[in-house]
Amino acid sequence: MKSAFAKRESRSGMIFTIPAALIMLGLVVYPMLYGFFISTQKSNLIDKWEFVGAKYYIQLLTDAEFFGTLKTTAIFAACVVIGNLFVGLLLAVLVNQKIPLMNIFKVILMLPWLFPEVVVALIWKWLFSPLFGMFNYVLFSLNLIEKEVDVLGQPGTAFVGVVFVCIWKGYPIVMLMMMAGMKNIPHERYEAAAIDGANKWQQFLNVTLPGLMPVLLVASILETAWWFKHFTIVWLMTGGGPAGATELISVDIYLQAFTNFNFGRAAAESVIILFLLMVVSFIYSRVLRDESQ
Amino acid sequence: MQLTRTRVGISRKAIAAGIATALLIGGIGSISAEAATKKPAAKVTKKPAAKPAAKPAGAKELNEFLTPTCPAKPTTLTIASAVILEKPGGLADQGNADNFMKACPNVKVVFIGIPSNNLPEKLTTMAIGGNLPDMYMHFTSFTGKALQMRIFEDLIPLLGQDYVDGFDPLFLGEAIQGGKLLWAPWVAIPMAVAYRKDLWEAAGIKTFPKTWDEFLDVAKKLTVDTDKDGKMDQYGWAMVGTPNGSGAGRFHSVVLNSGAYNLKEDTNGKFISGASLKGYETALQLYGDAIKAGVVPPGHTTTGYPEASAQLATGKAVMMVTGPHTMGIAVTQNPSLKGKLGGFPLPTANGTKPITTLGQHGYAVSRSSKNKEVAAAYIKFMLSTKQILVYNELEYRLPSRLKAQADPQVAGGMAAGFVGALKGNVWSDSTASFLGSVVKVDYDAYSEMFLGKKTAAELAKEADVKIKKLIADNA
Amino acid sequence: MNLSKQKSRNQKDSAMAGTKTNTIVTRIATYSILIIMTFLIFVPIFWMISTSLKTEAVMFDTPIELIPSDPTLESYKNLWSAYPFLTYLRNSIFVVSAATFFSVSISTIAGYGISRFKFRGRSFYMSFLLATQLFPSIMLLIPYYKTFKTLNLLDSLYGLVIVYISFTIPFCTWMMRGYFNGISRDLDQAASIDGANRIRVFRSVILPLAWPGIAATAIYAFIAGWNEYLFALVFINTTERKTVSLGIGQLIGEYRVLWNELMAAAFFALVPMVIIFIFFNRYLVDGLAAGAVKE
Repeated sequence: MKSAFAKRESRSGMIFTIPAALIMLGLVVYPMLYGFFISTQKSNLIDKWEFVGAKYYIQLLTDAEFFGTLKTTAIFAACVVIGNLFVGLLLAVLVNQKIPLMNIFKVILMLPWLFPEVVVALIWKWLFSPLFGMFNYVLFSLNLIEKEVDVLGQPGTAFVGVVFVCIWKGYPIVMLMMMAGMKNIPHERYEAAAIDGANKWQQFLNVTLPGLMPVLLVASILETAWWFKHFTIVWLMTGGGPAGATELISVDIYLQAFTNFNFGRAAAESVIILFLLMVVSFIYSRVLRDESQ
Repeated sequence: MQLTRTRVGISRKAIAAGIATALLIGGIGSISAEAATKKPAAKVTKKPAAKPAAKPAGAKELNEFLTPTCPAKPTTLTIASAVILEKPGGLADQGNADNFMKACPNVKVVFIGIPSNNLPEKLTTMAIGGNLPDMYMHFTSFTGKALQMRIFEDLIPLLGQDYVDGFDPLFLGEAIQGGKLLWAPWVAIPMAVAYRKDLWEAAGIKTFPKTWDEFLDVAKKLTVDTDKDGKMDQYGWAMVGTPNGSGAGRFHSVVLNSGAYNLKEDTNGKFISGASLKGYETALQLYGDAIKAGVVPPGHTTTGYPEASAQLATGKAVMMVTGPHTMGIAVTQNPSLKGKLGGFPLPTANGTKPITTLGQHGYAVSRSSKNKEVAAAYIKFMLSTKQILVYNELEYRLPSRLKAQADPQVAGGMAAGFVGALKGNVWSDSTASFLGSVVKVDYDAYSEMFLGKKTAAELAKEADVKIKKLIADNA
Repeated sequence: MNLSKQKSRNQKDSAMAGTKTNTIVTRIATYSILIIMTFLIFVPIFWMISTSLKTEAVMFDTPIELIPSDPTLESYKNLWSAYPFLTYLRNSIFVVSAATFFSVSISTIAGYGISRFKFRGRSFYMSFLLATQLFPSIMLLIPYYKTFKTLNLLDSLYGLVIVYISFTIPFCTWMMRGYFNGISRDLDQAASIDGANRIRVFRSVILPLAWPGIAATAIYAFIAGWNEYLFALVFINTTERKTVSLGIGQLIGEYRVLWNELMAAAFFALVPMVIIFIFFNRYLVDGLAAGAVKE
């Protein structure tokens, strides 16, 4: 009972989306199915396959340590995502004003994004080094500390430290998305708000924020996915320590897969993450969609 | 708990039995200059007197194996290596290839440089993809995985039994599994204590500490404020406290020398946890005490191997639990240190015979290689006394070949203390596939110890529970 | 809505009186925040450059020198003589430009399709794209390797191009979709009434408005590819085919981190990025201007 219009719509939609779908099918779906498959196998991935069913899932879901790691990962991801969204949005709004020097700041503020994660992690680690790093040296010179501060050596400060560095590295992409998003908010809305006497803050609340909702939704979902799975910066800065304070789930996956040669368990962990993140994304889209309406 | 002969992982009877007997007779795996000057006591062979390993290599020996049998057809030999990217060790790897190509102009040696941190993922992926190069660098931590993937080519037929007999039996003990030589050992880094002779003398210390208590006392004496500005600038112990493999390896050496271990296989091939032994707790206590006593430079939890060797090189710290290669790194960083570094065997809980680990690496030939003969020729070439001594000179690593070991360059000089460490007992890590997780239990334990919230006894107990759970999970 | 309007009206008078001081306060706040951020950004960059100008001995000397008293370009020279960084650079530029071009083209089309058409499986398609981002990429390594071996694309720059396309498409598509959602549908409809078909509408009406979004997306794709390490590491063997990130990675040794050379390499890798970024940034600004004129 479809109208001709709907049919044409449907066909056009498919034509536009098929190229991307094909590439993703080949390159992501197959590996994911492969992941599902090996999560049920005890295998050397070459010539020895033994079906073990849900063994690894049961092992994981009855493992208190696994849940501890999940919790740390969730708190870490939440801190970084909120930090990125806050800093990114704030800076995007600031540089979007029509006042001098903003084009220069736009470039400067993007700089952290251009660094490879490896380099970001190592520069900061080097900077925080109690003996050879600039951080302690400066604090000493200013007489702010008596004894070297080992930022990455205490659980509390180490966690704050890696979150800080991850925000340092991660906010620019949010800022960029917000800047692009703001360009599509029609000027008339601001003008209308200004005529109504709204000040900058009210304009932000009533015009900018609602206008950015679609972009914010995308940003929150993807940021959550990325940081939940994050590996490099934390691995290089603290290796999950001290005493597991920064131990993330991806560190464990790496360890299981490539150190312990236990691909079944690593794959099972990945599948659990996949489902967890799907649920989170679903909740996001519900909440944010309602808010924008 | 006394460990007379701590060999886990090589339960395979055939060689193990033979070697073990020979070693026991020979006074437990000695490869010191002393042993070498006597007779090759610590060696399994049907012709015991056949090896003239006694004298330092003369000109003839130096040139042995330097004229390889070259292939008839032009061949490309691909080698995956981590050493090729390291400084200064890479020079040795590259030198081997360059000289080999000169000797065999129709062979092209191509290296695939893999940063050692990324070796597990790259080698594993290549192996599973059935795409390994002709040769790849083998570390003992990779043995369990490589066995499961069955990517090894047995090198005994390829190199010949006679040639294999020329390796130090201690190296072979790890490299021979199930009667097959899985890789050609190249060098080892026996764990001992590296120290700065100059700073040691400045502090007026005469004797090496025999027990951990003495070690801590010496470390305290070496922790001083040299420029009297009210701030410590020299510390006793460059402890690697990072939660990773290099930290855990050193911690485990302390555990071993306190009378415990993390994991081993008993005679029935069953895994058992050693964290319930008192020594595990003692080792944790030592780590905690050292931090409390302030003998470790600040930042110990983020002091990895590179940072700790820098501390040694710059004189920020005086002692470090490590292998002889650290001296190579320190000298490269600070050339004035030549002759000012040394090593002594690890202290123990009660002054008994110390236990060391080999930390060897070598080259394996992949089963899928089409150039096995060339690979074998290359191995013989790179392990020739002349070539292997180049590596030794750069990094003080201990060569795997008995003849090279007898060279004064190896046995004398700065590395003497490390060579001496092999006179004690040698521990080989289990080849359990889940060893990586056991190592993590180790580093989690000392990381928690640093926090000081739990006692050593509690943490040792927790570690024991975790290791037992790993054994059960992987049964 | 009404309520808030009323409220803002009430505030109008006082707001009018304070507009001038308000603007000044806003500006001071803006610049202070931006200057603090700039400082936070430049601290590590400063430390990076400072370290790259030191010798190894100076680096590990205490008290440390914030600004090297005896700066040397040695680490840069070492980098050039010991590693073919120019080759790495060429490879990176080729791989990443090609991947960015294809990825952004495909994503722009797909993003438009999702934003504008209702077709069966649309929401599934979006969730599917999203789901691809939720699986830990380290677990993709082995299946990718096997696939690429079959396709004979290992140790090949073309293979890497395909990997990077597949990595960036989902995000780029989502980003473009968000962007297209912000462009009024009235424009499509107006053009449709004029008799243009959907593809022409897309090309001549929507695309010109989408440049800021495309530029932002392209910057993302470019940076993601430029900094990617793990897959390049596993796929590429030959030195002549290594990328810049691999060049940087091999400076991190097990036994020694060559901090000064590492920092020099990082700085070196940064320069082309900054140039490209400044170039694209102008596009962002131009795109805005163009949009304003059309409206």
